[in-house]
Amino acid sequence: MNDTGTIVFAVCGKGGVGKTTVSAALTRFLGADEEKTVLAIDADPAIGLATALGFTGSKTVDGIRLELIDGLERGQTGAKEDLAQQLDYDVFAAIEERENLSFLAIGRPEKEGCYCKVNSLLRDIIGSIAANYDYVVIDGEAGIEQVNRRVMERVSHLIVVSDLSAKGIGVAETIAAVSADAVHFEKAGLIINRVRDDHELSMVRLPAGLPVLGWLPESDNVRTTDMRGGNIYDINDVALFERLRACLQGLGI
Amino acid sequence: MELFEKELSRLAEFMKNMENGQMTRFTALIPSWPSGAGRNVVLADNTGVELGGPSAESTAFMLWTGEPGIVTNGRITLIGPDIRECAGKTVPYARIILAETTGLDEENCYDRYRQMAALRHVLDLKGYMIRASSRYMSEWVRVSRDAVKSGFTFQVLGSALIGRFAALDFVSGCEVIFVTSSAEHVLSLKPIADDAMMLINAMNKLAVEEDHDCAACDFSKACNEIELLKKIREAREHQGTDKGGRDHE
Repeated sequence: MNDTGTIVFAVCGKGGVGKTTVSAALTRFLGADEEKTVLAIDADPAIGLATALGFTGSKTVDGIRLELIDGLERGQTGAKEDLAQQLDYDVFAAIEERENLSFLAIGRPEKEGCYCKVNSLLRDIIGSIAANYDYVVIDGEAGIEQVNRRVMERVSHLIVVSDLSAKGIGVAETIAAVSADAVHFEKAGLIINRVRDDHELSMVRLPAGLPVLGWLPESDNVRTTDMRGGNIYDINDVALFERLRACLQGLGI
Repeated sequence: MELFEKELSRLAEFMKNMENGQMTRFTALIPSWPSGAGRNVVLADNTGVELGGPSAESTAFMLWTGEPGIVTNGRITLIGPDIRECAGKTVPYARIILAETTGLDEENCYDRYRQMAALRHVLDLKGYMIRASSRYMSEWVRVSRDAVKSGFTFQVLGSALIGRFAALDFVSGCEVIFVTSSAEHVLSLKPIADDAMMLINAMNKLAVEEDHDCAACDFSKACNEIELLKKIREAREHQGTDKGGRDHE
């Protein structure tokens, strides 16, 4: 939990292990409490979380940044304060809202260098907006280092997702090691995704130094919904959400 | 000519035309609305009233003058319905601040403008969210359902703004005008906002940019007409000459 009381989850893992589904399920689970507000941030350039949550993801922070940079290159000027206010306005306008849930797509990760002032302002703005929510769920890229760093600085709970593959577990170990240096989170853990039963899990070498929070079942319901282009709110899978609840208990949620 | 002489005159004409409509006048109160404790977002789901923003006409600007008698200190004017009457709606919105200033000159006007412009963003009122766009010269305000129920009004908002301006030692008076009556009324204020912004941009450019080529500058007409801009330009030219002279020594 950060100084404003916001709990910020970052969900990371090797590509293809189902971290977007886990992020979406986590968002739905947290938002089920109508008294709580949830901001889902899609930091994966593919913007899969938008579809998984039933949003469009049509406006991205990257789009805002490029538009601004284009203006600067065409000679538009302005005081830093005006620039910050304009970015704040545009980022807030890019947020899609539905009941107690908000969604923001980052788009492509920022590139440091020529426009570090713009990047820095955007980090501050996203960080400032995120601080207004009870929960923030960030669906990251494979690693976490590309994710908007100001938000990552505020990550309190790191969830690493893997499937049963040795590659997935290996990437999870690496992410946990890199994150421990880069991010000062309070709690971290591993969720193993697409598991049939405890026996199957027992056959896998689990990583050292990263607590296993639990496992989520391979779900025909999820697969069918994905195939139909549905979203997490179309899924009626009690076992999935019960297991997710158990995983989150391991993080003290 | 004073910096906003024309704009103040056009605004006075607008106000005269509005006198026969729904116009309410309040006096600023001592600000007492509780703080938002740093939370500056009101979500759509919790919004009681939305003013301006991406889906409604909006304009916002500030004019200042050194001439006494133009600004009525502490006056809040509302043209159109108040917050409670707008409950559940997104309404067009204009917000105009008029400040009477003392001692603004070519040396300090840029810094003092920035101080005044920043004030709308430091308002920390529970259940009140503001997003402002300098590019669109507009504001996007959300007032939460709880704030509407608890009696948040334009008098509360105007009083908070006036209180902030009053704390600046170079501001001797401040009044605020809100318009919620119609998109047409808000749109009719936009040309004044655009011209005021053009003058502010000219002032900013003179204050911030190192090199000036008046022949190629979009603001040269304004700089030739407005006394303050002329003085800033002359002061900058003097600085350039002095610097050039020193460079040669």
